[in-house]
Amino acid sequence: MLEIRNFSKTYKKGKKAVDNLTLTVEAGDIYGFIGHNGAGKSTTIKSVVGVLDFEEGEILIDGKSIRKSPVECKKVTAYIPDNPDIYEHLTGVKYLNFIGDIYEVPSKIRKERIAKYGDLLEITGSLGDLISSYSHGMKQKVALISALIHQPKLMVLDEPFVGLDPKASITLKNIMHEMCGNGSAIFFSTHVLEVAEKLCNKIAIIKDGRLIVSGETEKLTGDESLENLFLEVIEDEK
Amino acid sequence: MKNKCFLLMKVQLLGQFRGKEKKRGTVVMMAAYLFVDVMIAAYSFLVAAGLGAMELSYMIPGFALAITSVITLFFTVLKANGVLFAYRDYELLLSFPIKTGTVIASRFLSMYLMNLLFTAVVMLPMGAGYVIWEHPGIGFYPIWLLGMMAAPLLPTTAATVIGALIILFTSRFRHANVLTTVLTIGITSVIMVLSFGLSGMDEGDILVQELNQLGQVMLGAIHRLYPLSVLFERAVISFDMFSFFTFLLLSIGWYLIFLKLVSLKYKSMNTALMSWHARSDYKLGTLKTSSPLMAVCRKEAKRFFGCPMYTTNMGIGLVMMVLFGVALAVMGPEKLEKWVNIPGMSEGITKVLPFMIAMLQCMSCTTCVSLSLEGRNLWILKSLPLDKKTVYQGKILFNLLLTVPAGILVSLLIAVRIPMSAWEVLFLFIIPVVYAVFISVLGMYINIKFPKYDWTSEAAVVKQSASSMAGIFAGMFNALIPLILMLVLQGMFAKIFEVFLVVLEGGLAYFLYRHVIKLDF
Repeated sequence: MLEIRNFSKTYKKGKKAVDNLTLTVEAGDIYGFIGHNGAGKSTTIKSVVGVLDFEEGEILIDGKSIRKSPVECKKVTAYIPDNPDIYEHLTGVKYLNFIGDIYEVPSKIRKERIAKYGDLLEITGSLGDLISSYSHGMKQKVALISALIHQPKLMVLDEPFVGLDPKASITLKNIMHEMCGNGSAIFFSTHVLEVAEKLCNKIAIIKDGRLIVSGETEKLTGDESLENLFLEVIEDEK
Repeated sequence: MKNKCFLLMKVQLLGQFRGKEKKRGTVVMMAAYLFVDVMIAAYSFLVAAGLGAMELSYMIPGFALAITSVITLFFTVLKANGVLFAYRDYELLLSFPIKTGTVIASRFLSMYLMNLLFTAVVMLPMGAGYVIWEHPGIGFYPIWLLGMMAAPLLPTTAATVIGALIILFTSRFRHANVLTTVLTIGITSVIMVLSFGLSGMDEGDILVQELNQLGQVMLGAIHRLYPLSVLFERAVISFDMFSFFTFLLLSIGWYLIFLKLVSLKYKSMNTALMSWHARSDYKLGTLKTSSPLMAVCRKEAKRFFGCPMYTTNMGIGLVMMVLFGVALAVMGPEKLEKWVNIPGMSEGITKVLPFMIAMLQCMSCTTCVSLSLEGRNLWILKSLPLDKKTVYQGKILFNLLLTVPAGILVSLLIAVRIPMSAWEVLFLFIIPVVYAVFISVLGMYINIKFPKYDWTSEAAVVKQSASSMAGIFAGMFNALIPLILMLVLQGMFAKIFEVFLVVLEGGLAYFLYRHVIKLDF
């Protein structure tokens, strides 16, 4: 579903944020992308979803290149950034309707999905209010619904659990499992190793822009915790 | 307090004028500011020289003060709210161990400095004109300079008070933004209309033969427009120290009273403004669908009408245009000429009307700032399956939906009221439409080239960014130069020129559009 091949990103003034990254996310995977602050996670994620341009390497979504066929790739992808700055001048439902129009989701279907996820995340009552009146968590919930409205094949999230209340976090995990059960793939970055350990069947650890380890979570961790594995590989790289 | 105040002000000004804008965007903006300043300074000196040549140089002090104060009041009302209230780093600033009064003073001072710059650009050349014609004593210079520094205080605080009162009133309502926009535009329109009316002269005045009598009449008009100008005038002309210190006391005292009063209510006002009405009782109804293009266009409309700063600053040109059209239709050109005190306006007006409409339309070019206003939301457009062409089309379409109907309405009002030939009526409609299309596309091009995404207040984009300056000036000169040429051209040459312009603007719009849709944002 997602193939990152030899991806590198160098910013102006020569700062290399990501160096020769290669990984594959298959349909049904919940893939955790782990690294310290400034490791290159957000740069990778933004390049995957087409927010950031890049010159080196290739990123394929459902077999298509994000550089050569951006619109086709984005049609099957959903992205939620770590800080979901969404249109504050719109109401929640108007924002979701806007997203539905862009993805050309039929009216009846989008209404059903908004109702379903709005009730699950307990935000339906607030959808008629301006987004400017929402708390950070409420904005995240609306951003999450907007990502689910078109049933994406690939969902890419940057720190999705930050700011969500415990119940919403559990709901999000259930939604992830449901999506993967239906053949979609999830690729998300996180600092919370316990979540990654319990939720992800595959993980990748990145440090200073380079991939250190990647693969199935169980095989990588063995009898250890993910926390210990993380500390070990980070120490080995020093 | 003084050091923290200047520190906050410095940070705020740096944020407005330094960002991730490309270097050439900053160069464009500075060049535009410089150009405008030079033009205003030159015009101000010419006005002073003109008054001096007519032996009316005693009018210069009052005139200089009145004109800078009214213009300051007008433009500050449009921006005061975004600078003093509901700005993005409000909560951060209030969490610091700094007195509320210091925060307010720092925000106010940044507005004051910008207004002082404008005041200096007008008053320094006019002061030079006064020196040349009147040869005042050495005491003139400190009075003029101190008076110039005090001049922006009262109109800036008055504008801020008006803005604050609007907020206090509208924050009680669910649709506060819409109400704020309507009230702000309404009040600024009233200021504009009153300033014309108060400074205009009656039919009887124009019949006065003696220049010095005319001068007295004009001076009376200036005093009606801005009563404080009497004090400044006496101080400059007669070295009346009592008048001078009264002028200073009123200006500074009014500012200090304002600072004290606003400090008491500052937090509650901002809380009222930033605490939105939330009903939390929504029930999902029918959802209307539209194409991606119309979805982008509707989003633009919501953005425009949902932000008072954006609506008032970009919409004021259209409001002025419609007011002008209504005034012309109701009063007729001769009466309007007397009212606005622009001699000769009614002669040959039919030739230049299309370009006047086009010029005011160009002041409402939303495309030159709409991409920048995406700001922190830019990731949405970049991550959605939206071709950049659709994004540009949606933004251009919205600007056209805003400007073209208004232009047609005004053209219709004028065509009904003023006798014109069939040719004149035809181009009265065609020229504004073609200009609207061209400026919409040009604005889009300018914003793609000079974006500014890292802003904390819409004012930084709408009023102070390179793209807004470049867009407004390009639009204005695009209409102003043909307008001036049309005053000179006669008969068949004027008609050929009009046809040439329509073809040129239309062709430029087409080729520029073809280029724009290939650019990345």
